[in-house]
Order: sequence, then structure tokens, then C-alpha cells
Amino acid sequence: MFRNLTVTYTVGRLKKPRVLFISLLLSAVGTLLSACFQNESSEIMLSFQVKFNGEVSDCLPDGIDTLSFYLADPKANETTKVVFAGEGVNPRVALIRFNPCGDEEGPKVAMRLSSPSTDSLELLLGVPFDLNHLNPVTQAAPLNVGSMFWTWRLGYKFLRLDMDGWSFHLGSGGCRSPSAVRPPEEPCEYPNLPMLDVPIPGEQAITLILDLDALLFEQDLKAADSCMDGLYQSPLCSALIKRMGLSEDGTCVLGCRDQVVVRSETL
Amino acid sequence: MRRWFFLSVILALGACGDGTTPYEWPLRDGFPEPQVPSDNPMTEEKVELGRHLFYDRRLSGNQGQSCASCHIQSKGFSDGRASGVGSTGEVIRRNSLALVNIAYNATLTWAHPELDTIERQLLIPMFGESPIELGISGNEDTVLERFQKDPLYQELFNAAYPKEDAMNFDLIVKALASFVRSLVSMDTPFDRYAYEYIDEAMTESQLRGMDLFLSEQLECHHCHGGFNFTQSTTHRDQTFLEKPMHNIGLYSVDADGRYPATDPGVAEITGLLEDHGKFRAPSLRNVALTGPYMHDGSIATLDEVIRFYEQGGRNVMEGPNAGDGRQSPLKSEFVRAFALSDEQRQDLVNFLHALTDEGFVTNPAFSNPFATQ
Repeated sequence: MFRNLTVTYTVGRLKKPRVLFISLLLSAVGTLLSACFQNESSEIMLSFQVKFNGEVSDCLPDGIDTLSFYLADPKANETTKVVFAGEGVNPRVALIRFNPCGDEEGPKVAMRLSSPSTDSLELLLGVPFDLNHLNPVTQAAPLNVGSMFWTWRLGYKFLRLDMDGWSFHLGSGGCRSPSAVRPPEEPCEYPNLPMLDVPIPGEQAITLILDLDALLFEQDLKAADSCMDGLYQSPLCSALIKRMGLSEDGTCVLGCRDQVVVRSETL
Repeated sequence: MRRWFFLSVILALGACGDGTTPYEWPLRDGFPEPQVPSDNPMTEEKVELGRHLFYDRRLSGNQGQSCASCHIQSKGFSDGRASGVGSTGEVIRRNSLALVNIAYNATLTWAHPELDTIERQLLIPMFGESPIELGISGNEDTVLERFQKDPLYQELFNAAYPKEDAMNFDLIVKALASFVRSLVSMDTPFDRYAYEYIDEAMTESQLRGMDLFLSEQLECHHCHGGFNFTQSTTHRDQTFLEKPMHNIGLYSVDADGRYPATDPGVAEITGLLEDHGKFRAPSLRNVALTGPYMHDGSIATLDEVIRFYEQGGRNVMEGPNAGDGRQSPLKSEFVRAFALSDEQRQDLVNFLHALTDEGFVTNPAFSNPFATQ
């Protein structure tokens, strides 16, 4: 990146000797710097697949109408900074969305690490409180996707699964504000933000599987209402959020690591 | 000297370089601009030409109708009828859609997943022969000549298209699309409450209705969500295109849940059973002005619309369309029966009235330019 900037600069001003000297100097410094950065930073590509009825695919399986979720605030260790990378990407939040099967590639997101020396990453599944209750219309992508937003009060649907007559929408619950169009001042009682642990076994490309079979195992969806209110107090909803690493009684609602739905392909 | 140079550069840039004036979207702070096709950039001059054409009956073959005959400003640019009527008297099978913020539409018309520019949509009412709306087909030269010979239009065309020699239908379509694209509404009591944080902008009843509207119990916002009160919305900063269509259980004429063959919705385009009865959820902005409701205008009032959703669909008891839409296997998962008290139903109706933009339906920039002449 540094190198590109300096090259552009020198081409633009080649005719003036003094400027040429400065630009050559900058170019040299830039080259050195970019070499340093290339040595110290690294990029990881996270790709996503979904498992449903025993089949693994990178697009919407038959019977699933919508499957999207947010990931946020990636972290490695104390000394390594991690951000989502790429054009138009929010460094803190990524939206992973499975498309209908066809020409489009499966969902993936790049992450830039300030140092390559890490063997695992952690990510929140969802949108953290400080970003969760803002006016969605004026937010940049991916926080401007209307179908992933509930209300100012509840914020975003962290995970949205719509299938044949039944839906699971994971998001914060127990949020207090004067109306649905006013944000809460205090964090919600049930933030419902599970933590994902992602091992980095040396490769630069990692595939995560969202295992709907594990989420829905032995649950009779036809017999129950959808789970969409942020509180999840029916037996079915309570079972599902437990599999997301959360608990309906509020004992584990933020950063818990017990989820069994998202896992790395290599495990 | 230098200052004048920069000033002139800025002026030249600002004026598109050909004497036309770039259109400035009257949006709220931070709101995204709509997407505009690159071959039809918005200019003030095109919008003004488009406004004249929109209100001009000479655009129809028999000079009986203009666009405004079915898109009346005081009715939020709908027409108050169950279904439209064309210039030759032919009845259109669908309800005339209100025109509001359609610059943000992911798709146009009631049920066409691939129809995504206003320029292409306009060809239907202009040139369609089944049904005939404006009825230009077969009368192309006559219609064009009316405008070519009119000094007012010569002036408007020269201002809008200074580099074009002759009027043609491509330029007419682009101007009409520009005017329709300019019909932006963002100043309702709801907008003032939500985006200006004015707590008094809505009544207590409207606020209760809003919380019901946005509740998981009613699920209205799953289809009518977002700033435009339809999830079928796109804009310049959007990275994911969504163009959802839904079957709401208005009909189910057989065990598979089909809609009447006279209008099966998206299935008419795709031929798929699963697309039977799927239509685009229209924006609810100005909805209090745009009845009757649904794609066929078959529900007269907002109160009845809410009762329809309370039932989770409609059971048509008799006639050719008999069948219980509530039990349709094709019905959207978001249309489920719920119970409201009379007061709650009234709160919801009152909230929908808070989506009326009085300034929009009286805005002189959107009004009939011939009315005062």
C-alpha cells in the first residue's frame, strides 16, 4: 500500500528535480516500510458453509429461505490487532450471508492481523451494544441492511434463519427504552452475544461450518412457534439458544463460549 | 486570478458541463441517495420536463389520459380505485401503485423480480397493449409530433437535452423516470419522531401503534421494515440487494395454495408453483391515502387490512376464488394470526396515519404544471 502511494506520487511529478529527489526518498522509505508491514501483518480468509440435513454447502440449502449472521470484534492475543479487511468493509463488523445456490460464490470475509503469530481467533456472533442501537439508515454497510434490523430498541438480528413456516432470529432481549424507535441507554438484560473460537492451524484460509443440524437436533419445529423475541423462553427457543452458548435465565448472555453450532472444518 | 480559475472550475463541474443542473436530492442528513442508472443522471431540467409529460394527456394515444390520471398527488400518487382503468376504458387487473420513494425500490410493479429500473417499467403503461394503458403503440408518430410541434416542449427538451437534436421516446422515458424518481417523501410525523428525536411528533396512540407494528407478535416490519417501510428497498450504499416477494394468504384456490389464474403474482413470470401469490410488499408511506389495498384492491380500508392480518389470511367463502388463504401452504411464515383489542387496532391505524407526508402531497414541485396556466 505504501509502495503504491509513492509510485503514484513520483509519476505525477517527474519533471521537477527537487521533487523527484524527495519522491525517490519517499519511495525508498515507503518500500522499506511496506516490506516491514508485509513481514509483520498477515491476512486470513474465513469462508463459510452450512450443514443441513446432513449436506454441507456454501449456498442456501433446500428448505432454507434466509441464513445470515453478523460477526464482530475479532481478537487474537494482547499484541495482535485484528480487523475485517477489504473494500467497503467495516473493520469491526461483517455480515455473512448465504445466497441462493447459483452463480455467486459462497460467503467469505478477509481479516487482517497486525502480526502472524497467533494460533486462534475469537469473534462475537452479533453486533456489540455500542453499535447495535444506532439509526440503521445512516450506518455504513453492513449495518444498513434493513432485513437484519429489528428496532432501535432491540438492534440487529444477530443471526437470521427463516425456513418453511418457522424462524429463528437471534438478537438482544430485555432492552429498555421509551419506545421501539428509541435506543436503550443501558445495555440490554440479555445481550445474547455468543463468542466463537476459531483455531488458526497455520493456513491462511479457514472454513467455518454453521451446523443447522446441530442447532435443530431433535427439535420439532412444526409444533412450536418461531423464536424471534430476544427472550427465548419457550422450551424450543430455550434449547436453541443453549446450543448457541447462551442461557435463557441470564447466567450466560455475553461472550460465552459453549456454542455447538459454528465450528472449524478441521475439527 | 487563481481564485477565479478555481471558481470557474467549480462552477463548470457543478453545471454538468452542458448547461444542465445536477439534481440535489432533498434527503435527511446522512440518508443514502437512491441508485440512479448511469445513462440517465438526474438533472433539474429533466425532472421539470418529466413533470410536464407526467401531467400531459397528449402522451396517450387518444389524449384521454396522462400518467397523473392513475397517479394522483393528493392520493399519494395512487388513484383511489380497486384497479386501474386505461385510456381506452380497459380495466387493469391490478391496483395502481402509489408513487413514493420508488427511486429506492429494489423492483418495480407488484410482482416482477427482474424489473429493476423505472425506465423499463415505464414502457409498460406507455406501450403495453394488453391491457392498453396510455396506448402509445400504433400512435408513436402522432404522439411524438404533438410534443415536437409545441414551443413549450421545444424549450423544455432543449434545456433537458442540450446535446440532442430531436425528441424521441427514449428521451421522454428518461425525463419521466427522472420526475418519478424525484418523488421522495421523508417528512412524516414518524420521520420527525424517529430521525429528529421529537417526542411530540406522534400522539400517544400512534406511539402505541408503532410499538405494535414493530413487535414480533405482529411481525409487520419483516416485510414492511426499513426507512421505506418495505424490505424491497435498495440505495447507493447498500452492498446486498434484497428483493423479497411474499404470499400473504389473500387467496388459495386449490390444495397447493395457488392464487386465481387471473393473477398468480410472481409465478406468472417464473412459472413456479412456489411463486404463486407472491407480490412485492409496497412501501407504507402515505398508506392512509392510497386505499383500496392489496394488488387487486380487494380490501377497502386500513381497518379491514389489519383485521385481514389478524386472521392470518382470508377465507374466501364463495365464487370462483373460493378457498381458505389462511391455510395456504405457500403463505409467508410472517403472516400468522394474532389478536388485537379494538383500541390496539385503532392505535395501529393511527400509526399508519403517521406515515402520511402532507408536504409531499401538496408539494408544488410535484404538482400539475398546467393547472395554473
